[in-house]
Amino acid sequence: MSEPAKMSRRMKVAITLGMLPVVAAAMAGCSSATSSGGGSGPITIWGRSGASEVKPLVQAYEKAHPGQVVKYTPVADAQFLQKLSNAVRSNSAPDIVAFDLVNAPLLGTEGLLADITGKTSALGSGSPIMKPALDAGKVGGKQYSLPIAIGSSQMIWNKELFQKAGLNPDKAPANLTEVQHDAEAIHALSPTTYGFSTLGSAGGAYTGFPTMWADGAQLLSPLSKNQKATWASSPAVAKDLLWLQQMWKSGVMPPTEAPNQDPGGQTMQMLDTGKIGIAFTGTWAISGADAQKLQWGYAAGIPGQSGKLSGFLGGDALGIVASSKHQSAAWNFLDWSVSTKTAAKVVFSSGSVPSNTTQASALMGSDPAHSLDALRSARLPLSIAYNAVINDPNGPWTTAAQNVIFNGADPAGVLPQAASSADKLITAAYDQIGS
Amino acid sequence: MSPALILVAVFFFVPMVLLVYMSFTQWPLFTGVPRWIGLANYQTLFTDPGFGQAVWFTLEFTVVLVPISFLVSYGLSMMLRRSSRISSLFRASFFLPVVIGFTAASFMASTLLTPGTGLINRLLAATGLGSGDTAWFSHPSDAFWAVIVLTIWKTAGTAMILLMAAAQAVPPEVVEASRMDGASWFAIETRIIAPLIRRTIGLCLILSIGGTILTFDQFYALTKGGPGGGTTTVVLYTYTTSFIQFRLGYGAAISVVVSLVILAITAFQLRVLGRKED
Repeated sequence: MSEPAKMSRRMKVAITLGMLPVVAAAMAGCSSATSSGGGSGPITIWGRSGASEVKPLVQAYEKAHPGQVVKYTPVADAQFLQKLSNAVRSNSAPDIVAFDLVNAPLLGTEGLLADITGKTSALGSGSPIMKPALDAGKVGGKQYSLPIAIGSSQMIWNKELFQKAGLNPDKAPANLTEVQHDAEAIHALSPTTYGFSTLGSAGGAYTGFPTMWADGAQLLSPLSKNQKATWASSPAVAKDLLWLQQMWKSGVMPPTEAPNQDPGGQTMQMLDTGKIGIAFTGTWAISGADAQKLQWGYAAGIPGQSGKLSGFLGGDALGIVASSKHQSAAWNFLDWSVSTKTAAKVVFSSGSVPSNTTQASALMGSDPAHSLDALRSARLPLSIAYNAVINDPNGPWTTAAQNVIFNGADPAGVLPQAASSADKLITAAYDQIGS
Repeated sequence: MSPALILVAVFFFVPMVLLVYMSFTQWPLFTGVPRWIGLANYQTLFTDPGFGQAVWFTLEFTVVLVPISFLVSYGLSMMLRRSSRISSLFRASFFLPVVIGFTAASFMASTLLTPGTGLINRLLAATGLGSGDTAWFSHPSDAFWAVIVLTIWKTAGTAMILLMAAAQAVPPEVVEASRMDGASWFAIETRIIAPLIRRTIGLCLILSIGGTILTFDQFYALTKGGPGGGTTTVVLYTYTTSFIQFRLGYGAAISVVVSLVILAITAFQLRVLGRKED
């Protein structure tokens, strides 16, 4: 082959390859234009993989609305926001997102979600949706998301072990002093029977914060640009972390409780096989019926030193992506999910409590482990930097709490430093919001 | 322009340029326009105690791991240099961990080290060397050594094969001549074989240093950088900054700095390995 012919062939290959991204982009653009046109057609929904109620909700919705197609994509919890960010930037975001309630302030503030204030007001002033969960979706007085499934923290105890240890199996430990006393009595039965466990992470939000709230602590100031971590100035925080430190040191907690020690849900297994006496956990861990069958006692919340109960408000929310071309169809799905009996039943059978209190109270009669009053008083620290400040295993809260509980650090030393780091992360989160 | 160059441009240069651009901005997570902030992200690097801690931990990990890992690999290569059925079996056994992923290896290690039920804890208890309840990942120092052992077990096979192949290429008459001159095995190893395979030794060390600086998987799977941030490597810190804290611009700045460090090490490697034999 002659040199010019070779060159020409090379040029063709180069141009073809060079054009590939352009053609791909153009095709993506066409596809986007096709799917977004007209506001009809299937709606798409992304849900965090931990939100077990979303898929059955979608299936039930399609069954109740023949002809309406809802395409559901589960996304791994740890990658949910990251993948959503990529999807938004490449114009391939879904119409609806189902996300962890803790991310409601972030998604609302970042401008990802459509303002649904006008639509939610149609639900009525005496809205049946549980207020604290509904408020989590509010930013600057505007509603951006609706809670669909909620849950809270609870304390459970093994009645059989209580009996063996000479304790009253029908009486819940009333405060942390009693929890410690009962846990020590149970651990005394055998070295491989442990008195106490906090499923989740010791000092973490779901089971750690409630003891502190019950004792009057405040972890974060209200959601705003000037939000601050207030845990260093709340004496109850230090006091309750030191209580956990003492529980760890005394050996009444299983060693698998330490950070990163439980590769396969061993603590949960120990709970099921009667090796743990008292556990601070969530309402997801055990239903009332199972608790009765397994001879577990349960309290609707977690006690503090004072004896008051409190809980962390967890759950999932739905929001409509602001750029969605199917706003009306997407709203129909949200409305159905929080209003109907069918949706409530689906949520309840997935292990969560429906956010619609009217539907929830009808369903919960048979399950006393879930208390609406306890859920109403459960709390959620709202922050756009929640993941960085609270959830991150290397974030300021977890680092400080673990250092106190497992490494014996003094709260007076680590908490102010952690609060200062948290303040910087909150400021950084607001600084990078797009204009 | 050749197709290869286009592919390199699309999949390497364009992302790299984008990364550098991101590092000079406040990059919003979802919507809005990135805001140019000049060198602010790079300035933050010098005042961020978390980054400093991660750099220090990565250096510590590198300084401890690289020599031990090299000595283990060299020792194994010495023992398995001769060809025989039994040495083939051992070579395969020592190389096997290299082909499994770090995540799978980390999960195995986590199961073996589980307090109370893990095999290693039980063995330690049976031999009186431990209580059986050791929580290996609850203290940074224990976690550090557990990950060092795992990493050596997982990676030593690669250097072992390279060093063994290089040593096998040393002319046998050279070794034989020194033996006839009365040289001990230690003298033969250190004064004859090691100098003759020094380029391979250099390659192994530099690959090991580069790999160690980029360590991520085993710490992500086993400790998530904890407890208390005590086992956070630079790459894990970059991940956390970018994908948990969503400080995308700052994460990009850390990535650029790490890339430059790796580039410098690679340039040094190419210079050393490209040097003509004396």
